[in-house]
This record gives sequence, C-alpha cells and structure tokens, in this order.
Amino acid sequence: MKGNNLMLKQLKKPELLAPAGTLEKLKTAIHYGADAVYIGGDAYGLRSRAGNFSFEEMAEGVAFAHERGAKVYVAANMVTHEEDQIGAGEFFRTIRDIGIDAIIVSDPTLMQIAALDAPGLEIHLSTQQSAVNYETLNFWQEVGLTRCVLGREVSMEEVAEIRKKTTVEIEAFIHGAMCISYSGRCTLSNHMAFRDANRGGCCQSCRWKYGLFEMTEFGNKTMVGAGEEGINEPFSMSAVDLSMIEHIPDIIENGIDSLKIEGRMKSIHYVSTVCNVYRQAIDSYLADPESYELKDEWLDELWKVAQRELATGFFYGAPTDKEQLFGPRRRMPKYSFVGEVMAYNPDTQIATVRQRNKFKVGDTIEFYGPGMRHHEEKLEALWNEEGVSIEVAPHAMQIITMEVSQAVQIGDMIRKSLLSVPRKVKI
Amino acid sequence: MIELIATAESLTQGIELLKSGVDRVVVGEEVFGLRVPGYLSFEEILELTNLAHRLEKKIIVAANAILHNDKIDKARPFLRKLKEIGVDQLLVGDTGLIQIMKETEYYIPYIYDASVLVTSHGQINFWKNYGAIEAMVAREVPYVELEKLAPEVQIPIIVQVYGAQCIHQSKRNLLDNYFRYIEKEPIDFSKRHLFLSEPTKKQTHYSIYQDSHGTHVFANNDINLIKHLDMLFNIKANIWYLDGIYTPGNNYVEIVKQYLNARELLESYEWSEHKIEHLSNRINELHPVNRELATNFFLYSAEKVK
Repeated sequence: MKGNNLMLKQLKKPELLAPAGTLEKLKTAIHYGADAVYIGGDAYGLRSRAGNFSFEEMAEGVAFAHERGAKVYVAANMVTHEEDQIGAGEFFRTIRDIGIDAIIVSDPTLMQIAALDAPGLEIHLSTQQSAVNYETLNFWQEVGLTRCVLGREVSMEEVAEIRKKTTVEIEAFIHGAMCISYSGRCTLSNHMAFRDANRGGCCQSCRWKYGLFEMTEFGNKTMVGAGEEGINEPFSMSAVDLSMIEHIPDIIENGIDSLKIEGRMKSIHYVSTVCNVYRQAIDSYLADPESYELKDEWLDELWKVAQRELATGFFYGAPTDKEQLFGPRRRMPKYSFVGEVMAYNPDTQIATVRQRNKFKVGDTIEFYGPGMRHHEEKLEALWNEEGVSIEVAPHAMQIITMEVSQAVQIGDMIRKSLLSVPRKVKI
Repeated sequence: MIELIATAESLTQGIELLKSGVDRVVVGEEVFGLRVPGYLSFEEILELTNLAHRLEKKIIVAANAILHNDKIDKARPFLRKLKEIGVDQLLVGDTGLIQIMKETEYYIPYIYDASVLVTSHGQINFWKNYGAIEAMVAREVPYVELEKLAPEVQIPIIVQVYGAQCIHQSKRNLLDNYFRYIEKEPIDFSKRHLFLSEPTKKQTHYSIYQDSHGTHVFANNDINLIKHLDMLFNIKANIWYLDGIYTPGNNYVEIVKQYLNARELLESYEWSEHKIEHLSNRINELHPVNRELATNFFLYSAEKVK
C-alpha cells in the first residue's frame, strides 16, 4: 500500500548540496556525490574565515562541476550596512558570466542589485531570512527568487504544509552544526567580540559557558544554577549537530528539493564522508522505496567525522536539554585524514598515495571512495618516491607507495583512527 | 516635527502615555507581539485606540513575531480584528505577514521591524515597495552610518532612543533546558531578573528571558540617547522609539516625559547641555536600579564592529 502511494507521488530526486570552502573541497564534494556545491566569494559572504574563491578559482570550479552535471552556488548572504553594497553589481555580473548557477542571498539590497545588474543570475533566499512559513516563501517567489532555504526551526510537519502551499524550490539543512538563534537574529558576536555576525565575523559566542544570575539591584548578584550549592554546570546555549540520515524517506516524500550539508570550513575528509553517505541513502531510497532500509554502515561513517553528537533539530519536536551540550565534553571519535590515492596498478596491487597526515608501518588505515567503498589495510610496508623502503611517512604531500589487498581508485581517501568511540545511541 | 513612539505595558500605562503627549503607543498581544512589555486584550486595545483617536494620536500593534505556519493561519482573522478595532499601524518583522497584507482587505500600514536585520537604506527602500510606511533601524547601526542612511531612504526611519536592546532570539527554550539539565524546578522566567555574564567578563550583565516565542538575550546596557538627540535632529531622524520592556510602571512614563521635554527643547531651539544634563540625571534616577544605561553602538565608528 505504501509502495502504491509512493508510486503515485512520483518521487522527485532531490539535490544533494554540499559545502565547498576551497576548490579542492568543491571537487571532492562532487566526486563523492554532491549534485551541487555552495562556495563563498571574496565578498558578501558570511564566512570570512572559510577559504573563499577568487574569480579564477570559481571559473575552474564551475567548469569542473558543469562537466559533471553539478551546479555551483555562491553564498552572498551578508546583511549589508551602508556602503557595503558598493561593487556588488560588478561582482554579481562577473560571477554570472563565469557560470555560477545561483547566489544565496538574505539582504534585499543585494537581491535588488543582483536582479538589476546581473539579470539571469538566479537568486536563492538564505536561511538568514528565517523563512519558516508558506506565505514567506510565496512572497519571495513573487519577488523573483527561485528557491528558499528554510529556517532550521521548521518541523517536518511544517515542511509538509509548506510544500503543499508553495511551488518555489525548498532547500533545508539536513546535516551539520546549527545556529542556536533564528539565523540572522543574533548579534551576540557584535556585542561581545566586536565582530559582526551578519557580516562574516561570527565568533560563535553562543557556544560559550555563561554565568547565570538574578540581580534585583545593580551589582547584587545571586547565582542561579552554577554557583548554587551542588551545581557546577554553567549555562550554555550550545547545541549538538543536526543529522537527518535516519529520515531520508520523510525528507524526500515531503518534497524538499535540496538537501543541504552545513560546513564550508569543514575538511575534505568531512565533506567526502558526509556526501558519500547521503548520496547512498538518497539513491537507495529512490531506487526502491519499498525495500529501503537505513544501513548501520551509514551511521558508522557519519559518526567517524562527527564533531558533536547528532540529533534531528526541530524536525520532530522542540529540542530539549538532551540536544544541548551540557556536562563534560563527550569523547568523540577522532580520525585523521592521512592520504589520498593518486594511482593504482591492478596488476601489482600497488597504490600510489599522497600523504596528508603522518602514518607509519604497523598502522591500520581505512581506504574509502565514492559509492561507500571502504576497506581496512594493516600497513606492512611503505616505499618513498625513489622506491626506498621507509617506516614512516612524515611529510605533507609526500608521495608514497604501498601494497593493498583490495582494488582502490584514484581519488579514494585514506583515514586512520586515533580514538575510536562507539556510536552513541540516537538522541 | 519630532514624533515619540512608546511601548505600553498595560491599558493604564497606555492611557498615561497618550495623555503625557506621546504621539504613538505600541501595544501587543501574545501570539503576534514580540518582546512587548505586557499583553493587552483586544478589548483593551479597542479602548486605547478610541482614546488615542480622540486625542489625535495613534496606536501601533506589535505584530513583529517570527511566524510559523500555525500563526500564519491565524493572521487573516487577526488582521481583520485589528482593522475592525481601527488600529493605525503595525510593527512587522515576518515576510509572511507582508505577503498576506498584499491583499487589500488585510492591509494595515506597517513599520518594518526585523530587529537586527534593518541596516541599510537599500533594505528599507525595498520594504517600502511592499507597503512599509516607516522602518525601525537596527540598534547596531552607528550614527556615522545613520548619517549616510537617512538621506537615502524613501520612507521615514525610526531610531530607538531608550530601552533594552535585543541581541539574540532563539526558538529553543534555553532556560527551561538548562533548568531541566541541572534538575532545578523551572520558574516563571518573565518575572525574574535574570542575566548572563560572559565567561571572561564576569562584570557583564545581559538580560535573558524566555516566553512562547523562545529565548531572548539583551545587550549589556540599555540604550539611552538623551544627550545625543540633537544629532538625530540634525539628520532629520525625528521619530524616536522608547521601549519599556524592562522599565515597568510609572517610572517608565516619567522617563518618556523627559524625552518629551527634550523634544520641546529641540523644537524651540532651547537645547543646551545644561538643560539636557538635567533630563539625563532624571532618567538615571528613574531607570531600574538593576540596570545600566549607555549609548551602545550609537557613537561607534563604522570600523569598530566588522
């Protein structure tokens, strides 16, 4: 019965949208299954510390993506103050001509400039605008935007209703770290560190540990919580990260058009692993919705790159204390990204590897590649570029060869476990 | 002509404010009103509106909440009710409500107020095209930027000159969550004077409270621009907003009166440092004893926060 309903629904294949802080991450994300990536330019973005793209790098990234049927979006989601907008028209025209597929914008000033100065460049609404109801999406569609990124506070039930009452494309975050505030509605960083959260300077003040106190007369403080007898845990707003891997059917059936992974500042290890897993899950579901099963290995893979515990945010109810980072810092798995495969000879089963972090003979390393291929190898021997046997590969970008028991492919990644922690039961 | 807009915590206070000479009073109810000092029933809003109109003043209803589908579903009946009452204006921060007000039968002239997101003339002029009659400028915009913004806007701007400044809104019940974690009985957070201090600056004091809209954090000090109103006057930023969310009762009304006096001084060209010092001292006396006043971002250079 469920199958029949799904057939009638004609499930649409959603886009898997990955972060790409650098050209290398862009290529990695697409190689590992992303249908689209979002990047930052030299201006107008919200991640001043992320690697941002020059026009030349954008052109190379766009060419790489388009050759593989993927898209490239530029995040231009800063909230401008007077004069910040100067030069935006030329910026948007240039990136349109480079072939950027859309910009992600929250500020109407920038939207207007893009529409006037770079006609033809698609505009997506950034999550910074807190689009959390269907009428908001209809508004932006009438303005001319083609897609809206939902606020992270929207529940799955609300997504379903929004989908029924709108036709604009919907994008939703499905994995990664989350703002504690309604995105955009936070200037903690401005006030506490003189860094403008809405102009790329967010210093994540929400993750600090605060004193909480009551004060009925200035200076006369009574501590509440930490500071009271027997209570040591300070007040914090910090939350666990989002992961919707266990709810891919719900996401697809409710018509989310683009599944967004957070993290332009994350590593290629992270980007490749997360893209790999979601690619598998999406494709598996669409191939056979009736027999679809969540696989433990997907959860295990995501856990290998997790930086915090994982939960479903607002999708299935208001987050409680369980979804906040109270208490001693949890032990998280720690994997080191140690190399990538540059060549493989199937006759000799010799892999040529470029070192990215130190590894040595005796280590157990794990190869992984697109399509969720992965296997472990116990390193028996290593050779340097001159063919000399070595015990350790200590140098970044050093070229190493090694024998492997299973076939690997160019572009496969290699990780090494530094600290293995059993996957925590779902929150 | 300088106009004063002041929030009201109750019908009684609203009446006092109107009688004191305030031009427009802001009131709100719980579903659509965000961070208003008190909730009024529709009957009370009607009574206050009728009084305001008799005095040739105006009533603004705060409809500035971030609205999820359930509230958007209630928006049309809400707007219809406000039109019946005859309120003059709304404070609006959610685009969904603006979409609904494109339907003429639901349109009420509104002030665009998306809290920290109103920072440039381009944004303000955009919302003017969608029915905004005025815009509340973010408190993070310093005077040096206001000077550039003011001549470029196509609708008047409103500047907050007094009161608490919200700097963070989360939909999460952050205080509830913390209390649950430390196994402490939750309290009525709206009735307690709770503050946060930064981990390395124990002397800081950011107000925090929680309500049906989530958790709200306010700036270290409340805004008080009494000594700098002449600067606003010079750039014709002549709509001043006073927020009483943390200043209850008659003290707030008295503080508003100091601003009314300041207006008179400016409009009659009798503004002097000595006279304004007197008003400022009076405000300091009336301001809640657990809170401090400052100019916050107003006098910052454009480079101070980047």
